[in-house]
Amino acid sequence: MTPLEHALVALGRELELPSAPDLVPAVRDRLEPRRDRRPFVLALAAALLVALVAALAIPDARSTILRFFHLGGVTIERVDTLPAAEDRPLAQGLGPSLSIAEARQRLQFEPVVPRGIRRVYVRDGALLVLLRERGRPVLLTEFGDAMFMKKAASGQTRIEQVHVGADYGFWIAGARHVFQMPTDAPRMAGNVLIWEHIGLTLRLEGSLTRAQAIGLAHRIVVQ
Amino acid sequence: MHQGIAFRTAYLVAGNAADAEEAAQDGFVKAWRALGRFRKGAPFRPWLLQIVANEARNRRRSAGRRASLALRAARDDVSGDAAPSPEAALLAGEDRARLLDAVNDLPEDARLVVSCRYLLGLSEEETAAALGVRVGTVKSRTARALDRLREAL
Repeated sequence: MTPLEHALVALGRELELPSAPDLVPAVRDRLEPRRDRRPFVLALAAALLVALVAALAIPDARSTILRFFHLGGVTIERVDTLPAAEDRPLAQGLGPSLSIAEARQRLQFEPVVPRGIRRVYVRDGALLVLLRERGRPVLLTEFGDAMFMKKAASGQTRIEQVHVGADYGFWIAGARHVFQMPTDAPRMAGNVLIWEHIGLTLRLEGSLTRAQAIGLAHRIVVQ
Repeated sequence: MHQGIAFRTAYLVAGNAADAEEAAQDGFVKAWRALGRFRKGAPFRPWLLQIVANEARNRRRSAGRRASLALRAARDDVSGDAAPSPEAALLAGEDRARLLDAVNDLPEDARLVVSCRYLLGLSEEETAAALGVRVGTVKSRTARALDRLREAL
């Protein structure tokens, strides 16, 4: 660079341009009015755009995040290299169990409680329910609009769009992926079904096939 | 963030904050709807800036006016304990004001290319996308603009 070019760069740093407004709410509002016609596509569009704006702004993220999927409060990132994560059992770190009434007091949404369940957990504003399906543990997580979780999946993990009745969701299977809640260290996760149901985002994790997971999800929401 | 650079690029092209905000909003909405046409492996930022700058140009043209940079010096002196950067040390007081005046006096094409390349710090590719010209045109316009500035200073 010549001295003049250096001086221009310095001038750029000394200028007072108007502050950039937060464009995300306005952009989201403009994408959402058509939700009635194409609810899933446009909800996905708004969420994807928000994530794209945010994530691509981080230089380090541009090289590793290859694609986004969004559903409710869940961000699924297709990455070339999985982040470091713990390998811990589903039931570990859930905290003290609560009655349904106690859990309702701590949650900011009305949860869907599977039939026969009397004790649950609340963490990061989400409801966690430990189920048993075909003799194996399955973790159900429910959360509302205000809560977010993130998943990172490598190319060996399949991400498929699925339906649970009239609800839309993703089936994540194959190679394990990394799962993270706001205050938890990332951990490795196996097969997972995520779907939206009446304003809630629900997540089932366990050693289930796609059909088994969808069947269980259907029984949970249609009681 | 991309929001920031998109807004600032739109501001330089459109010439005022209100049009820049609308242009950036429209740009993000159009970028989303056109994501299917985004070339895999291509850098995202030039593509986004191209869309945003197009929106900004449309507003400027429809308003029938030449965009004005309306740049303001943030402060007269570098404040705080931190030492000024070598670049900042080159510019102080009157020198900064003279350079700013010289940039503002450039013809529109030259002013925009200098603003994008140096004031916003866009790459040649990003500048080309934002201005809707080839990279080679950015190079030649930049060289001519720098010559004009040298003559003016």
